[in-house]
Amino acid sequence: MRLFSHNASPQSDVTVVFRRVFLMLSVLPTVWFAVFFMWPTLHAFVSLMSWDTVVHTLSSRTTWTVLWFTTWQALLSVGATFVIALPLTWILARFTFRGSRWVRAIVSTPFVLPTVVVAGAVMTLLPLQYQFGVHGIIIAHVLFNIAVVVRIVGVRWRSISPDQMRAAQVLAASPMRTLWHITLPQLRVSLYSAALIVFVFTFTSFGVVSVLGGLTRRTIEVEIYTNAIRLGFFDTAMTLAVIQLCAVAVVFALSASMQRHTRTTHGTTFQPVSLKDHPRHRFTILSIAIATPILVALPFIGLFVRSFRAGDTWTFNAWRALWNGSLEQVGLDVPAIIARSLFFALITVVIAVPMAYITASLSTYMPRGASLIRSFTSLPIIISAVTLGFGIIVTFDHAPFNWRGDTWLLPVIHALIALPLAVHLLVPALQAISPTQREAAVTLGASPMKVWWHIDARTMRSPCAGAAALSFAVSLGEFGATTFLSRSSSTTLPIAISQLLSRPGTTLQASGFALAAILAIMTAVVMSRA
Amino acid sequence: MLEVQDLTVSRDKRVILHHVSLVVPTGSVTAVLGSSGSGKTTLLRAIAGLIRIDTGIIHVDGRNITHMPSHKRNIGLMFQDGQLFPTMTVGANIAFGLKMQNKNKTEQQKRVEELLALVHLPDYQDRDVPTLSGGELRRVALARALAPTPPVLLLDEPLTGLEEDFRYDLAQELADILHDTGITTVVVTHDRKEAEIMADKIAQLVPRSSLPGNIDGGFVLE
Repeated sequence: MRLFSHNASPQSDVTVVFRRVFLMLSVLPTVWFAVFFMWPTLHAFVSLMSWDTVVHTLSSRTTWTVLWFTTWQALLSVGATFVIALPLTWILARFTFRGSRWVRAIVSTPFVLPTVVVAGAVMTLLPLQYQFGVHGIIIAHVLFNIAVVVRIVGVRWRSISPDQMRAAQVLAASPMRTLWHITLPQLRVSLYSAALIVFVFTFTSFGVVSVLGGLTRRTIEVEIYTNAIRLGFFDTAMTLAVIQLCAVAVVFALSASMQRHTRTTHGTTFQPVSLKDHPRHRFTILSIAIATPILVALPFIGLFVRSFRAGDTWTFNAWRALWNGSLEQVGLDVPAIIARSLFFALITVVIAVPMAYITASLSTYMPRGASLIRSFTSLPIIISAVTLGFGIIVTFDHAPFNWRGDTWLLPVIHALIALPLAVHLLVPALQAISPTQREAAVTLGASPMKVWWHIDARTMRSPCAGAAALSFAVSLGEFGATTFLSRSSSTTLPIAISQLLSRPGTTLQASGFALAAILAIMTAVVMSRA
Repeated sequence: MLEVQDLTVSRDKRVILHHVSLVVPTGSVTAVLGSSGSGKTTLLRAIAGLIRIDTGIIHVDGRNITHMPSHKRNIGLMFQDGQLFPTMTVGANIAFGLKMQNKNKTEQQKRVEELLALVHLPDYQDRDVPTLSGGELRRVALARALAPTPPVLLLDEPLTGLEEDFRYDLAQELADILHDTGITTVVVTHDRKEAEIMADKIAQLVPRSSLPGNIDGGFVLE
């Protein structure tokens, strides 16, 4: 008997079979993505961009005013979000206490709520003279993005050993110097990542600024909408979209460069300790842990309160108006709008989850192409929904592709916007399935199809439910692209809320708050199932 | 009987197994000893059909299985760390191979009970996998590999990660089970004592460079 061998670890045939199958299936998301995303955005760019328009747009004072406002409000939003979120992030990463799960849930909720709901909630808190302007915009952006910092920075904070702080302390470092020299350098990458995400969200903010910006405050995203829909200046709108895209690309490039030059260490996760074991600063910690979720919850409580107010009296009029048909005089049939939004959300799930599953599988089983696949599927985040909506009305406006007014287009586009989020959720779950589990099933007689059914499908049930809930919520709250595509016969909940909040009249506005409350509850219920 | 003749496996232009030959008589247990990275696992994966081979022939009881898909070979493989399916109960794990053979529920249930008794875990059918200890996990993994009644069983470092004293006790227990079932078995391990407890015959992988002629880059059986 002779055995000759050489050290290496060959790959399983099951993975090869899966790769081939998903490569074939990838035709579906590729065609869908190409037709409804790449084509409209590229077509709009090629057909509308000209040197004259670029020069004209860039020489316009309005462009620079809007760009300046867009930039500084985004920077201010990032700063304010970090100031509010970082202390709570430290507390949730390091300590557990009674109700800490609730604190985390409350501060995370606004992130999954539709932007018009968050904007409406903030509106209820502000005095009339401050309802439209930069104050509300910044508050809404902070509410929306606290979850981003808590989540991204918190995970990294938990991986820093508390013994490092103790080691610094016994070497006579003050808490501030410990924070500066020990903690912050290790948090740097996560801080960059969180800052990048918050900046991009706020730089491309549309729903919040549409509702709270009033007539004077406009971001590039709102200006694109104004030029394309209200003024009919498609070429200016396209130029603005490209300027926005370039700005976002520069931020991504800067962030990538900073992250490349930062050393990262990967360690184990240190579980939070009970606050009872940390008597020092207990009062301060509890104060922050209680105050932050209250501040976050307050606007949403205000949303419910204001929906029952008419002047100085308490009334159900606004809620009654939603159901008794009195809003039809402003063109809103609320029961039909709710039913339509739910139907669109359902179709979005039916499209987005299978497409995301195929894309995530391809990314998992083809490691060499993974970064390319992820880059492509991330495009709907980088190229904003407003730009996509704009591209669609420009591209699909003549036979045989005169689809811009078709109702079916809305869930198809909602699914495109949900795709990167769903893929982001499914990829880690797929990667977590050990290839050896599949091989174990094969050696027990399972064919590749049965391996997929009994191992992959079984494990992926819960992540797929999460992706479905997320896609459903995205569709329910989608505002950017929908503003371009919806007609009176295809109005969705966020569009109706925006219309009601922008109309004069106490009852109409209160009905807007009531409808926003309904949408908030629907989204929260859906996300709690995730 | 398991017969492996001139088996060669390579990947990315690097030879992993080079003209390997191995014969394991029916009902016997052969241990293959080797240090970490000596290609022990690759040998088992090649026999189980989980990886492509370049050349060579594999026979089980005179049947040529060389080009047979892995799931049709009916070769039992117990993986390192067991690799039980975490979303299934202990009973469902053991019944999995029987389900793939389209056995009915009654047959599955009977066999699961038999095997749980064999591995001394009679009341574990409804237990969830994450609740099992290291030793219990190995016993269930063995039961799962034995369930479809394979003619050949391959054990890949079956006791890695367990504490030393407990490991040798469990090795003895597994050896008794293997001899009771009379199944043709190949067990690979890096632990000589474990091999001596479990196997009738021991083969050791040593670097090819230690042979006369000093051929570089591989291992040879002593």
